Amino acid sequence: MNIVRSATKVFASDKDQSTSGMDVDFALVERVQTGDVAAFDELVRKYRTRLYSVMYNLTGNREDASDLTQDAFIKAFQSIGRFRGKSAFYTWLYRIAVNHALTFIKKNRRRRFFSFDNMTEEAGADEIFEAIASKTRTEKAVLMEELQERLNESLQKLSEKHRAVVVLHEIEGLSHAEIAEITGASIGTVRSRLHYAKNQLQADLQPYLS
Amino acid sequence: MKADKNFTKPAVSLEQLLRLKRAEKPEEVFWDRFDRELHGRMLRTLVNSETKSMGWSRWLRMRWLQAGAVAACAVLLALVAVDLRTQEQAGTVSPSAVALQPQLPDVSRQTASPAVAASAIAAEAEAMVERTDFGIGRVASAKPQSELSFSRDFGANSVRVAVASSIDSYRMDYASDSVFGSQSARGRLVY
Repeated sequence: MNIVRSATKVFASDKDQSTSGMDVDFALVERVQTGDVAAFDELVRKYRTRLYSVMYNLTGNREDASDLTQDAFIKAFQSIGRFRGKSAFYTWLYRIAVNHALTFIKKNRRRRFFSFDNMTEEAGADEIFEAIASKTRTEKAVLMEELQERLNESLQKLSEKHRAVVVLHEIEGLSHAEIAEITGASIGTVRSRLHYAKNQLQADLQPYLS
Repeated sequence: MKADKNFTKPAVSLEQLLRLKRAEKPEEVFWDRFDRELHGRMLRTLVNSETKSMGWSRWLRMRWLQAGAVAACAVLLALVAVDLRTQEQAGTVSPSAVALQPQLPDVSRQTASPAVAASAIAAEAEAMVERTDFGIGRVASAKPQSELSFSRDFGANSVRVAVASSIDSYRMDYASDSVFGSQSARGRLVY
């Protein structure tokens, strides 16, 4: 319960900041549109971690994720002159990134190399660690590594579209409406993909879940 | 999928497990390299788009110059032909018509003659062709070596690049912004 509560708090504070964050984004975008390249650097610093996380969880490979994140920023930089602010900047950026990643994954289906980032301290993560294993430090580390591997394997078994929905909703915490805007699918389709993907993951990860 | 024998079933849901993936993050060193690579690519994008847009505008300008030169030559030839025919019919050849022919390639004579105008246009066109070979040239300066700046001329727009410590590590001080369609605003890209 505590874990869920702390996670909910994180989401709530994210939402509170989103409106002012959007205003800041629009101001930065306007500066970039008038030729201020440094303003784009600020946008990169703001979104690089989240965008990389999406790319990483979609590909399961950190080198590909790094390249794809850079590609997405370059594409955004090249077409930011056409951004009219009809959607939030991050939705627009995510759309570019996710479309690019899905195309990349389709083209490279046969080439599958996984490389993982280390787990870092994250809000709520410690409590989950504790819930998973109240063992010695070494045992916990081994268990976490195994769990990380299994999680990635299961995610990669999903189709690209189902994986994208799970990553954006469950890991990135985006709403169904935001995901619909990013993927170009209807909210109903997003919900149905999410339901199907979670069922698949649930079945695949059954031995590890309560 | 089979869990390991010694695996203790954890009391977590799928959602909680998936949220754990937020904790997978690269180290700070990764971001240093990421920023460096991205800035390099942005710089290349800026320079490439500048060159591309300049290429198109130059090509268009060249087309206009070539069309102008051809049109001027055609008008001149027509005039000469008409003049010669008239004189043939009259049984005389005007000294001006004879004198006009050797004058055609003489660009230095700045007269209002169509032939001279055509040659001048052609000469200008040739000069513009030479400008297609861009290069980053050092600007003479009394400042210390580390502060010397380099510039690259893109015609209407310009990108000024300043040297930092080595040839691989430089920074773009000002980038013109034909990418965004405005001539006045300038950008700053440092790495």
